Amino acid sequence: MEPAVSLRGLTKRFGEKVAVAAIDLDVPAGSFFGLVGPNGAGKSTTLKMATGLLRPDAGGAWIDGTDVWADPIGTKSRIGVLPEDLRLFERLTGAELLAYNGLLRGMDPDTVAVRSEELLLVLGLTEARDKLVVDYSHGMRKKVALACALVHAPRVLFLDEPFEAIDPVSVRSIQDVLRRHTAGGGTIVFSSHVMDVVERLCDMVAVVNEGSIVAVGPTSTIRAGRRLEDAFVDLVGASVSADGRLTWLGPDELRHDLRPPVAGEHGS
Amino acid sequence: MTALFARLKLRLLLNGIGSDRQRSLLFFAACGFGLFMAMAGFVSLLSARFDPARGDNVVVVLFSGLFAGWAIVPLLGFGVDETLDVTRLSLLPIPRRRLVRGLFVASLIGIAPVCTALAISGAIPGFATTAWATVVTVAAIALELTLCVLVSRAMTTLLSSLLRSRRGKDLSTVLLVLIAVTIAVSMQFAREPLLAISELRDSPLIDAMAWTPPGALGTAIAAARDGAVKMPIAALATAALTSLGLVLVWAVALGHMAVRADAGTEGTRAGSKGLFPLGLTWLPRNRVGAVAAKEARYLWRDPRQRANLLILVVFGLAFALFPAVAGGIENPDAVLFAAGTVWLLGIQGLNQFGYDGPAIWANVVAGGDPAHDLVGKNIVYAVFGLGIVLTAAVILAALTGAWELAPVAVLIAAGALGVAFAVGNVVSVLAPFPVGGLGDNAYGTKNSGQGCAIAFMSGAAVLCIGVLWLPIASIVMAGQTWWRPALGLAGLFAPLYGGLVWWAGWRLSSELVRRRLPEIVAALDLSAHG
Repeated sequence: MEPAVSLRGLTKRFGEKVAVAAIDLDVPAGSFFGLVGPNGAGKSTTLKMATGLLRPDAGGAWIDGTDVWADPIGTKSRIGVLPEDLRLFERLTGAELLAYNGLLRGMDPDTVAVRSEELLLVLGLTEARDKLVVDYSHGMRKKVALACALVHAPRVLFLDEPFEAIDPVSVRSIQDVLRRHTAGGGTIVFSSHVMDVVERLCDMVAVVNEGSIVAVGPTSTIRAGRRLEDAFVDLVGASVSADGRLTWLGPDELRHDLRPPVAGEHGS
Repeated sequence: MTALFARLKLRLLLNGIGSDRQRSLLFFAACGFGLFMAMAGFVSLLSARFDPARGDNVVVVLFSGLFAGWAIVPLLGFGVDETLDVTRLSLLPIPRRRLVRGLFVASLIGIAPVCTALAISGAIPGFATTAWATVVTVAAIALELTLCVLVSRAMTTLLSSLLRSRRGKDLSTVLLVLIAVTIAVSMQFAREPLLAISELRDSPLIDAMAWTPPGALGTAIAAARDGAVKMPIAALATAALTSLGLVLVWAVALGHMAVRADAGTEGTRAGSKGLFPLGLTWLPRNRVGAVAAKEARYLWRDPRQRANLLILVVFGLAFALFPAVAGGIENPDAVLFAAGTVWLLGIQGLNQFGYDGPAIWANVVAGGDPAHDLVGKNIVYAVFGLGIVLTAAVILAALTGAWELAPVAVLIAAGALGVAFAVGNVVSVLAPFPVGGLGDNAYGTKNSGQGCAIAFMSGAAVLCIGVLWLPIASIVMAGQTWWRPALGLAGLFAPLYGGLVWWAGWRLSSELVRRRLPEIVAALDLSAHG
């Protein structure tokens, strides 16, 4: 079967730094695919290039066999995106934001209205539907952004850190919606560094480090009997230990008063 | 500490230049343009040496004009250079006095302040003929530069903190209108006989400028050359006091900004039934309509855009109405001034994606034709702009009785807007830049000293719009001077011509926007690449 998402030689440099180094990846249709890696590994950059938000320096991306960069309109109608930084049109209300996104995608206004209400209800946002998004909490913003990504029933969902910095109740309702999506045959690609969520949800995992994929396969194979977090640390390498360093964070030093002199101060 | 701020600013500026070829190019182009303007200012002041009578006027106009420019230009959307973001410094234990001093010195580093300093230093060779004149001239130059930098910082910081205050939602609206009205009126009528020194001058406007603190500095320079003592001292003292006042305003606003969070709009339930606001329910329920409806909502709900809207309305109406009122109502052609209210809107149209900022990704990822977004934006601004023109035209027609010219004014304005949007659409796609959020200075551009580069690009676009407006303008002028029916002809010609130019511009920008989506996202989301 054709993979839902396929990346070939995807590369991006920012100045001297190679953010993504010729990544090849196939995401099987209907899978719940986790992209894990340390901060700055290139996960978000990869997702941006796969969704047509960032032009790759080399390589390409295909959604259901359609070239993202050759046929942007065709591919974008099949995907939904939840970006990490949640830059939304926050002076719209939740309901207006959903209507806006639906109409942008050329949907029928009545369908948009029906689906919006249902999404708001399931995600627990009905109360807040007429509140400006700028006044939403972080978790509510994630949920309304997810609703926007889902309103056109995309076949592939790209989620960048969907569970970061949100409360367990919101995590639960988002997970329910995502499970519903994969159960219906949808594909989800999501990046995260919350390992236990990935372990619980994903049937496939790719570990990204320094712009390259260091391991990819079914979650159970990557884990190899350990916790995913341990497997992850083994794969990307542990950081420098603090043992014997940072002695100035000891109890003696922290007692010192470090207030700068204010009275009679002179600027240099 | 102050030196540290200066070094930090310089480092940020240099890092900004080095990071990206297009930005560096724009930066150097802006440097070239700034230097050219600076030299023009320098030479015009220098020439006072040989033509003192004219020089006296030049120095007054230049000094007050530069001050007005520094006060107003950032508000019109170019922003002040907020390379040093106050909110980032608020966690550091820096007393406010040091902060203000440091930020002030940092503000002196950049293209605009350096070019301003260069331009006005032409007064030294131009006027400093004696030791006393030299002392006054140098002091006046230093004070003028201080006034310019301080007024732009104080204005923008004050307005953005007003916009953020919790109570401020309604209060700030009123205050903004007041400030805008004051600026607009003082631009037209500033006449304040502070001193009873009589000078022979041709223009009452220059006369008026001479009484403003920056203008008085110009007068002081000329008076010191002529041997006067009291007047220059009074002018220098007034300017120093004004600077002090501006510092106080700025410091207080800065203090508020550092500790107050964005107030939020809790309680302002949109109370709306859907995306499409009242009065715009006729918009089509598609991408064009959705973008237009969103823009319309943002015009009022986004504090930054609401401020702009008010400034646009007030300036636009002031531009149209004051000449008519000031020049007496006998000239019925004054109704045509109503069409002139679109010029500010034309400038606003040069950065149509600016207010979208990083949220623009939603439009990109939605697929569909992004060229439709431009149409949606153009529709809203046209409806809004023509609304102002219509208002101005009706008022002027009521004053002059020349009702037959009111529709002509609106039609001419429609054509002029078409032209402006044609250029604006192309420039918006080629050189989009994010308009600062409210996290810090609402009028700040954190483009690492790119403010001038943006202004340069916009200046070129404005020039282009001006050239394209010539055919309409020449028919109007023909109608005013020798063949009256040409005015009617202009009313017919302008919309057709404007529509044609708009269509051509839209075709071009459509091609460009479809190809440049990732680049537009990158330009609007400065955090994208860390």
